[in-house]
Amino acid sequence: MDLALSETQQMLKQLTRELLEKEFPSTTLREVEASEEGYSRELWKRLGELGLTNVAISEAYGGTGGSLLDLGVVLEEMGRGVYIGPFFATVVLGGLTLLYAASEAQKRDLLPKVGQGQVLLSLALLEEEGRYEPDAIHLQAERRDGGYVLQGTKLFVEYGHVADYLVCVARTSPQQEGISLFLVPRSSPGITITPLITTGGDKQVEVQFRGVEVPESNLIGQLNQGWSAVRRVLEAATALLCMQMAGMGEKVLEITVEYVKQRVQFGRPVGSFQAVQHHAANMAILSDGAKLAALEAVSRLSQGLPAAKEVAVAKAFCGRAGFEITYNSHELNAGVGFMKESDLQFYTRQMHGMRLRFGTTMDHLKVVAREYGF
Amino acid sequence: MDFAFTPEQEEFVQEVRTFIRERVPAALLKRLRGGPESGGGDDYQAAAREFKQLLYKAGLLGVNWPPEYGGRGAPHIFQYFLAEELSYQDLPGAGLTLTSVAPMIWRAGTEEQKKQYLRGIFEGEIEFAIGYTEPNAGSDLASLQTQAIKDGDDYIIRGQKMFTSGAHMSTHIWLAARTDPNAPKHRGVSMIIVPLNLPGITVRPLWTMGDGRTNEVFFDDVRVPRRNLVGEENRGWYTMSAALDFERAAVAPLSPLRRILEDLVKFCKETKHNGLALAEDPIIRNKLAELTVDLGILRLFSLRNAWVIDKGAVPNVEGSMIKVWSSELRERLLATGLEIMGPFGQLQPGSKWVPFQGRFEVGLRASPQYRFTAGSNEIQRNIIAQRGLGLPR
Repeated sequence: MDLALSETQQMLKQLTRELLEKEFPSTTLREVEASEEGYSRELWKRLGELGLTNVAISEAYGGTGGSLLDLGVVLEEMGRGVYIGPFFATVVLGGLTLLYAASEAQKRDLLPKVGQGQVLLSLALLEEEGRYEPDAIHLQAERRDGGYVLQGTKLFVEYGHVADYLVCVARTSPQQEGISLFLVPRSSPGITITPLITTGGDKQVEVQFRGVEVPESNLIGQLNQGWSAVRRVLEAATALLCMQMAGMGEKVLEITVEYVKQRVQFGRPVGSFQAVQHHAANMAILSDGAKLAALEAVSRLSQGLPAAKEVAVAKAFCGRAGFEITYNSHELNAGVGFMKESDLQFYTRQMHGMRLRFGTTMDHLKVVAREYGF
Repeated sequence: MDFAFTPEQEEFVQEVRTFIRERVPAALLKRLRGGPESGGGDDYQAAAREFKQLLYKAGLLGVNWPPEYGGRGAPHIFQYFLAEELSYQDLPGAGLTLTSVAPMIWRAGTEEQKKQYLRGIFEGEIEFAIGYTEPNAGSDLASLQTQAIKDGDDYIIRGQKMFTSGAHMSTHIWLAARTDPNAPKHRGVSMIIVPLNLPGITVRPLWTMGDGRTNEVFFDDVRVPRRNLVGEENRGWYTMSAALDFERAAVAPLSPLRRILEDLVKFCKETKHNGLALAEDPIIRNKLAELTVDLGILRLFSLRNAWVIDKGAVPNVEGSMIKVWSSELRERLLATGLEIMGPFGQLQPGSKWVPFQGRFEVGLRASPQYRFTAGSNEIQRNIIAQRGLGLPR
């Protein structure tokens, strides 16, 4: 048993942290939130140049052949750095789908570009019911003229408005898991995109597919066999998101500790009062627990071990920890921390979205019940 | 990064399980299970001593200690595995004598003292009760008043210790006494080994809400040789503090709670109301899942703590987090279980109709102690905030 990060992981962590501190200060975050695109192109370029988009791509496709845990530490730093942008959608959602399900030709064509940061991807999965289950997929892909025609609406597509390609999860058979995956250029005729306005300020969009034609060669994997890849991607994405949440929570705690150390009332730092210390201690317990749970989930996936229990435990706990850490931080940071001009609100707002993504605490408690055989 | 155990570690866990299965007579197991909490009688003490002898013979007592004391020089983490396995099986573990006092003697004692006490501890012949707390010195332990007054080659001990659990089952007290009443309070304390059979010592039982026994111990001018001082005179506070960190992790292991939750889940799966298992009720199901998640976090904290010890470092914040989390989880777990049992949850051990031999009922009654023992949870949170986060005192 060894709970230390490898040298590579420590290096990746350091690299990502320094990059975000330099290229993504809160002034940039504010600009990015206010913009239509919603991400920093300069930072994206740097992510590509530094190989951070390449971490979990196999060497065969031009990547560094790193593990999911290597990618996990990068995401932990992105959480800490309150990064918003197309990284998760491209590298995790799009990238892993290709890695797990695409043909050799498709992988050789796209993965190197993903790794270099030259292409943006997103996953069009959720629909009106907002559930991550095959029976909630109603967007149709009808076979026609040697290709497919897509009809339906997708929601919560992360950075779909700037993606070069959308990986669309579509129904190709009425049987429950009759799901197929299609690579759809965003520029295809029939696609209409409407931005959603989210708490976290990250860009998620509605994508309407009206008679969108897709050639046979854009089918990813086997017909009607798509859901197993989706399940696998969701598992990894959930664990990786937990890393991001853990990194964010840890930073919120640091900010809070700094503040209460220097804020003086009644002739002493408020951080010397026991009630304040106890709030902080509770936040620290939750933060450490979230981090360990995320690490175990990602570590197991990295080793190819079954991780259904660990992922569910991690997401359920990180959801709770994320809420309590961020909302308690506001009590301790009080008025100053509550203003929009403070940076604290970014963490709270982004954490909120993360709590609701890839299954809420309630959803994952149900998974825990099932996986533990209750 | 790897959360799994190494093959050697797995092998050791199997060895412990085999030992329990094959080398502990069924009759002895019966006398031991249910622990001192459900009675605390003389028979339990005798049974615990017998069990410790068996552990010693099997080379399982103090596994992380050097062979010259009967240990096997294994990594510290093996002690953790042993403690977990024994507590999962509802059997007494090494206890504070081995996990807390022995390391202090090892670190601060003379060669004479190590020879005199450590082997006896290992062979189960010497058992220590911890003499720290007093009626007016609990969380503010440094304000302790029991005196050790120099008189020729002896100390005269005068005072009273409180909540000295185990004094009735021990051969010695590991006593914190004031040797310099004029020094600032942390700097006038010494650690002295006091045999319990000395004249002038009175042990009086105190019974807890959880039907457990603890004691008051009165020292009426008890004469103890000065060579029983361990470490430097007036430097006892520092010896004590280092050991408290190890003690914290030892007081709150994972496995008893794991056992309780397993029993509860089994109960919920097997008990049906209107043909539907309790475990299928969404509210109960959700509660069980929450408890499972919280137990999972405790497991991760325990692993981290074991890893810190294994690396040769002293856990402090890690131990404090375990202590807070496990004590509060224990209460939640037991209370939830008893609530699920409905009116049956109020039956005591020995009652007709009592579920689980009353383990849950007495467990909950006994659980408050875990929130204030070995450093109350308020103190633990102070430690996390001050030592862990650097917040000012």
